[in-house]
Amino acid sequence: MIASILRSIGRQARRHPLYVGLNVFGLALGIGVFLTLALVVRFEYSFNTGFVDADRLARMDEHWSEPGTTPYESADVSFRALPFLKQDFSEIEDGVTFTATNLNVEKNGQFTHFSGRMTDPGFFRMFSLRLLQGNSDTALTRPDGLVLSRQAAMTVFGKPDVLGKTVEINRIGQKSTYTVTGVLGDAPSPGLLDNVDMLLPVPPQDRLQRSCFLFWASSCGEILLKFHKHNDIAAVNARLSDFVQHRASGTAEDQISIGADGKRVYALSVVPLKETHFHDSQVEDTANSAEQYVIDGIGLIGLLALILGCANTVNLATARAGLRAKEVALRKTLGASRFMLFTQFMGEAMVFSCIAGLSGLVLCEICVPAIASVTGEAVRINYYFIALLLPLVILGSGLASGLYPSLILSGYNPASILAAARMPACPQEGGKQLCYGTCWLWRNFLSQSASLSAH
Amino acid sequence: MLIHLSRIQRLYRSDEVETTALHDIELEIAQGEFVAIMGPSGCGKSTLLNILGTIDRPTAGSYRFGGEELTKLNEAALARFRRENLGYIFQSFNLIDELTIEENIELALVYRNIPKPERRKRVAQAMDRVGIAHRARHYPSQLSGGQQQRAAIARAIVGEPRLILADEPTGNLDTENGTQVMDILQTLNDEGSTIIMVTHSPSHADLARRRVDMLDGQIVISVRNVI
Ligand SMILES: Nc1ncnc2c1ncn2[C@@H]1O[C@H](COP(=O)(O)OP(=O)(O)OP(=O)(O)O)[C@@H](O)[C@H]1O
Ligand SMILES: [Mg+2]
Repeated sequence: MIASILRSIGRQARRHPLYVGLNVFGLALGIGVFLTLALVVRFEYSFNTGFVDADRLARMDEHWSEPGTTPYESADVSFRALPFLKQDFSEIEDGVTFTATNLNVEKNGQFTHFSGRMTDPGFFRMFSLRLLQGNSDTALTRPDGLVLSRQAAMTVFGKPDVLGKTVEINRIGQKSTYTVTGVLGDAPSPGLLDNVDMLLPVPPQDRLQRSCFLFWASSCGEILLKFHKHNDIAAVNARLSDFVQHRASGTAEDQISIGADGKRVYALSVVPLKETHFHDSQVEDTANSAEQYVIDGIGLIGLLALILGCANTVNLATARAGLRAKEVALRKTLGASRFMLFTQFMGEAMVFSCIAGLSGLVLCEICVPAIASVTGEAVRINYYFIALLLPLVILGSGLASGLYPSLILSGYNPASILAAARMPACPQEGGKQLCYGTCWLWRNFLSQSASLSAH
Repeated sequence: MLIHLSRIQRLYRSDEVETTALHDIELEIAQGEFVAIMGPSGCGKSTLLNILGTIDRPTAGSYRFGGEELTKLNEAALARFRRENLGYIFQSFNLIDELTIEENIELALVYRNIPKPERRKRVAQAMDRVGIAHRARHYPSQLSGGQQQRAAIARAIVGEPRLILADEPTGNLDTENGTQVMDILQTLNDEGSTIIMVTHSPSHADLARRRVDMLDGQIVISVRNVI
């Protein structure tokens, strides 16, 4: 069965290379575009989903709506909220501050720039991150501790084995010496540790002096929270306005609070970490966000490309059905049942779809790096995902592109076809045209084969 | 009786006209007969042959083959009936251009679940019988009309069918090739094959054991030839 299908396709390819080429190319293009855009959509939807217990992680946002200004939401918040949050909400399992900072490392008189985050010692435990080297529980407990990404370790020291080595770091004009206490392997990506080279503890004097640790109206970085249950996020969200009233409001003279009518100008909300990538398109102080409707639109375009590819195949196969009518009629007189012929044509469609699917994958492998370099997004081909998706796509487009032509072809009435095969006109039965829309091809085919046999 | 047709009728209906291609056909054919069907163009010969070959259904009437009523069978059962019992020969040969002669002949066996080596053997035998073994790997377009028709005969007999149907098998051939084809058909009949053949040639019809004349969708006379 398979062998005869492959032989039949081989013959078609030899005798009608243009037809087979167009057929496969159209479908391959559709599948290639679909796979590529599916990878893009999957990438955009996968931000922060790789962390353990990702659905229990969240970020605290501030909402400001002062009279006379445009209301806005910000991801950089006052750290004064964090101890009170832990105190007031038993649903919160853990919470850390997370502040971006620019670091310069001096080596042989040259400065190299690194992107750093200052955070609390509980960070690694909260995100269930293991270190390649060092103890994740204590790495950030000493004030001069420093955790490097493997790549940063390679850049600074030229090797990943760097525990205990010291690094001179220049941060906002101040020079200090740090000791490497950990090396972080690949963190779940895409996510909040993308392009983060170094993690360091919040300097003790910051906690005492920096205004965002002291005043509600000041802000400098993010608060990341972990809840006991996913549903706790919504539960806590519902009670945050009372929290603001209770903890952040005060008298007009009170410098620490946000004043008497705090609840009217200031609000807090918790955003699930998995949703931040799309949510951040409306949030200040965030980088790397995407509009969800744009991403959904891209996905839709991919789906349309796939449907178009299938439609093209249906079109070609249906238009060409007339050319195979004689073969069908003959096979039927020789005892092939409609089911046998249907299976044969479906089998051919499936093999075409397989070839197109693999060609589409090649196309995708060319497109994805191009898209990554154009958009700057770290989209990569995930072969695990492809291994799940591609068979479905091949099966789906094989069915979609083969079903209709196979039904038409296997349904031909042999008596009418064979009667018509002797007349240079389209086969008719009871005045009804048999090979819909294919008369021209049919006639052409007949006159061609007539002239062929004449030579 | 191998074949028993009773009150067979075939109407073609379109929006405007109704054509009666066959009207009240009564016909009995015994095992081993060689029947020639004659008549003017349009009298319904091909229609009758198609009904005998079950690729067309009568509008009314009964068709019994070896005691089995065929008009009651569904498409799948008819397909099985065809692959087990029938061999076809057409005026225009109807070989598939994409397949070699060998593969064209083999096609009559592939739907019967016969193992490949057995198929090969039978195909070789059939090609020997009609004398085209040296053209096995050629494509139909590389053969003369006579050779193509002999290939078509090989395809019709390779499955050792109980009935061979031939619609003007010599219609597209010159005298010499026509005679060759008739010789083969006669030999097959001598060996016991039942053959029903439509022809326009009185001399070819005379080679059959029985002759049926048709006019306007009806059988007018059926005579036994004295050979
Ligand atoms: N598909 C069809 N639709 C309508 N009428 C048809 C159809 N096929 C055949 N007929 C009519 O049925 C009648 C018998 O046709 P048939 O082909 O059986 O004739 P025939 O005896 O084989 O003629 P010929 O010797 O030319 O082959 C004719 O009048 C023909 O016009
Ligand atoms: Mg005819």
